[in-house]
Amino acid sequence: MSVELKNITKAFGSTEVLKDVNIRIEKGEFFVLLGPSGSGKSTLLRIIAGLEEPDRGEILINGQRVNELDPSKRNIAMVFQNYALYPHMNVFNNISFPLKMRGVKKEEIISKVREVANLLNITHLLDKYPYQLSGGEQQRVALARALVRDPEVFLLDEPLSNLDAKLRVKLRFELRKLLHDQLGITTIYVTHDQIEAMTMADRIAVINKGALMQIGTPTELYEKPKNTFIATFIGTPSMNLIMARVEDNAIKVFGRRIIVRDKTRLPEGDIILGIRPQDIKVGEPSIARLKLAGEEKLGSGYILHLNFENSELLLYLERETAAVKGEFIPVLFDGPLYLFDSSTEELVTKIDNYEV
Amino acid sequence: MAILASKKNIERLTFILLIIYPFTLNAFFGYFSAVFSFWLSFYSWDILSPMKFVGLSNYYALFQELWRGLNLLFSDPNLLQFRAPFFNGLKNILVYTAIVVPTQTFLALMLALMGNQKIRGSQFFKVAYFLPATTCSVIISLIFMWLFEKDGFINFFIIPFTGGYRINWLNDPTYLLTAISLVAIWGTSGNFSVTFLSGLQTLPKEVYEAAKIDGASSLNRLIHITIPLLKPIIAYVVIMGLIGALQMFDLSYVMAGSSGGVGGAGYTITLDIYNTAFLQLRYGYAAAKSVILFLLIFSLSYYVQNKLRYYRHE
Repeated sequence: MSVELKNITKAFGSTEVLKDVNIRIEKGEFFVLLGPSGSGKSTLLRIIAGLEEPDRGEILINGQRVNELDPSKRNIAMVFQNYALYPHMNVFNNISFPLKMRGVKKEEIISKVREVANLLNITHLLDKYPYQLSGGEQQRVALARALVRDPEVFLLDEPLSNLDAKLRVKLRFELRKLLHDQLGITTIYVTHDQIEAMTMADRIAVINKGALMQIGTPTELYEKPKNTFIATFIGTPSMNLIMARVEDNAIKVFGRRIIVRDKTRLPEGDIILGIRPQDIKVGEPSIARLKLAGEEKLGSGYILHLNFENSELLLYLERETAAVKGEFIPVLFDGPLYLFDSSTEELVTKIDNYEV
Repeated sequence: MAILASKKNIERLTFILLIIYPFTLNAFFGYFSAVFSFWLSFYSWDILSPMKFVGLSNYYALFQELWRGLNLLFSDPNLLQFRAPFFNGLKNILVYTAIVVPTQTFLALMLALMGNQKIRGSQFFKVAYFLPATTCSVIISLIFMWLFEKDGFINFFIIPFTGGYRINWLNDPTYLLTAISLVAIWGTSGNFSVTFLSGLQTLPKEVYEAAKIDGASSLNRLIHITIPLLKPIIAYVVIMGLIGALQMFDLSYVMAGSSGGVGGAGYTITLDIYNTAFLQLRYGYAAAKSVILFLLIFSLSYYVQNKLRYYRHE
């Protein structure tokens, strides 16, 4: 089922947590709400679930307004960050609770519970109590409880953040496989982890300070970030932002001129130049020689911290350099440049073709 | 001072100073009294003459009294108070407990559930309900005796339902125990509701939200989530209620008098122990009665604790 949010606005007291949010989520889509903590993304999810009411705006599920509907009548299921299992019920009773509350017949409950338990490989846990389960097992029980009544929309609120790193990586792949590929349920997934968002989502909505910044596929967000917030929020390490100037349709940076080959006209004056750490290389012909301040080893590659003026430039290398700390190393740009307006921080243009 | 030379010694001294006062009180009035009264129950003693070891004969007499009482209960219940006062006290206190403990637990839970709602003025009601717990029970009893008078405040409200009949609460053996029970319930429900309220506030919010999404109505949430999760607190309230109710003395002493009022209808075990010891000066026999009371309280509490055993916590 499709979910549509129209002009959703919500304030807690005098703090506005959501400002006029408009999103349309298509049937069967794996949709991620991404934002830093306190951005309002969880509140938005809770509004869809019916656990919070918006001050203004409409929630449509399958074209029907559901603002006035009780959470249980919206045909949604939700998995909470801490799973919210019923601590006094065993796994079977936890999973069967939503069916029991709907007055489903006993034989049907048993067969349904067995079916989801099979799907999630937790048949052997049915007699156990939540406190006897590991985090990953509790998570699967929570998923089973949500899946058991065939919801049309699946809501997940940071479901992986309480798990250890290894399990998280494994589960984010499995979750998508199960919900999207296998069951094809419309899924809305809240996370603050951009890697989780990038790896799982069909489309991502980035939310910051209650406002919707951009909606797009992971690739769109990475390749065409709408503003500096998204540019620096998506991708690791973060995109470098350098203060520069445009003069005579050329970008002046590090005392050099970058001439744009495209036919675009650039706005004259101060500008923010963005370039991803992966798009900066060491070597000649260099655009500048910058002092190496330090190096981080990632195993798969290296992040170099370079100093210029009062700020820092990050550069990602796959192979280690021979350079030592304090040494000046030559760098060159080898990838798209992003120009952001210096006051609004919105993307002005992306430049693929240029010459130094 | 050499003893204060090291930090460890200071800590030790602090420990002793802090503990000596409650420990002394507890050791003398608690443990010593308990052991002494158990020991005393095998003796015959009137304080004036020397103690005489009598073996189990206090218990034998008590058993005879109970047996006599049981027979009288079915043949001539009017004689109970005179011929088997301990049995009468036991019977009354069991009835009283059966009325008071479930009612006060239920009321306390309801009050807590209401107090837990975010309603304007709930703070005022929380304070109002808790107030009886801070008031001396003798004063409460005196006020209620006045309210329970034949042309008193309570009858004023009841008349419409009884067709003009005024219940003689305190002088009718049918109603005396009920009147005492009502005072007890009024006095303790608010107190225990605070216990429930603190329990309610520790319950996880997300579990309720999950239940809401799972389609549980507010009544279903109460039955399937709140009450099971409150089980340890319910057990605590029931056990504290049992201990309090089975030892009830003050309300009966004030509202019914030391002989238990009309026909001994307000007589209790503790009143009987008090009378046996301090009026009849039969300390050994009174001690045997208190041992029986202890066994009664202990076994009932143990049973309740087992019955309301909670799922094991993580």
